[in-house]
Amino acid sequence: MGSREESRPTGRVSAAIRDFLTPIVGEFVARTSVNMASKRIGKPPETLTKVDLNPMAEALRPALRTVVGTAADSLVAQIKELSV
Amino acid sequence: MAASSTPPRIEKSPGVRPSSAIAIGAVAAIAVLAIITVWDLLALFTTLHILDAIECVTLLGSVISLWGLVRAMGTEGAASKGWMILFGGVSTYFAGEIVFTTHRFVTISQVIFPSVADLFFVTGQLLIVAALLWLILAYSTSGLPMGSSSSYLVVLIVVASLAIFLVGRFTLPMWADPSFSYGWKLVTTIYSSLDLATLCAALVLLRVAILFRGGVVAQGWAAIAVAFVFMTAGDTFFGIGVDERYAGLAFLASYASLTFGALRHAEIVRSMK
Repeated sequence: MGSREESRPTGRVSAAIRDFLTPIVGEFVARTSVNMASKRIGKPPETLTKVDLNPMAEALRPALRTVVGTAADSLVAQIKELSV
Repeated sequence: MAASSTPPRIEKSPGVRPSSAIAIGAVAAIAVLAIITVWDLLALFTTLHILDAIECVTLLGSVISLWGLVRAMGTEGAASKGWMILFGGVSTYFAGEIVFTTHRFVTISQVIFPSVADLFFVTGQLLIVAALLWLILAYSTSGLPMGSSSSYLVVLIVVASLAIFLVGRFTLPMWADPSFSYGWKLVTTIYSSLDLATLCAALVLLRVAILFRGGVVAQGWAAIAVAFVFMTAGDTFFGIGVDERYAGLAFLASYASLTFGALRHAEIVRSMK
């Protein structure tokens, strides 16, 4: 459980979020949503680490709420717990 | 190395989903009605007041499904208000359909125009346009992609071409014809304007739904957008004097598509909670 592991950018975090969103909103919207959310938290998608899962999930909340209403809360919680 | 992420919980209900049953049933019923209409096989089912009664029942299904969707989406967020306005608009439209069909049964297939039904239809359609615009605005402000500007140019060309055709072929000659009352001309022009606004908003919503392709939310959004394209077609057929049975079939397709879309989207939202 090293903090070095959690803070090492590999591009896996953005890929994990994208893979999570794809069955819901499709590949194109999943990709652009991840780019939009990473822009909001001020980090390029490929530099995201596991510690960015929480801010990324919160940045995605308004978009997800627009699409699936209150079910967005459940999706946000699942994104925060993604295993990467 | 590929990311190992947990897939989202989108539960699959056992057996046939209600939305799928509605879709299969509606497509089959509309196909049978279309065959009966085209070949004049069974006068009973193509009599206008019977067709209107079927439309009423189908639209009631849309109202109930939309209420289910409003409840599933919750009250938070800008989009939820859009769904509520849409529910209000379709319910008002349903009130118009009830009044219209009652007139039909009383007068046996004659149309009273303009009438109290038109008050409900116009108010309902105004709310529907407002709801679609609200949903589009909520979607665009949430930061989700809207698609290329060239696709909106196509939407603009389609709506502008239809507007030019309708104004040149029907609206201007109607206003020049002294045999129509001022009320007739005014209400018809309001309908044409609302139809074009509905078509414009529905095509934008359809464009957005296409962006969701590959995802489960595409199904409901696309069906709801297509429903309002059919509604515009039905209204236009009715307004320009095409055989009213074809307008009725377009309305049936619209209400069935709306019922399927609302049911499907509500099922998806509930499965994620």
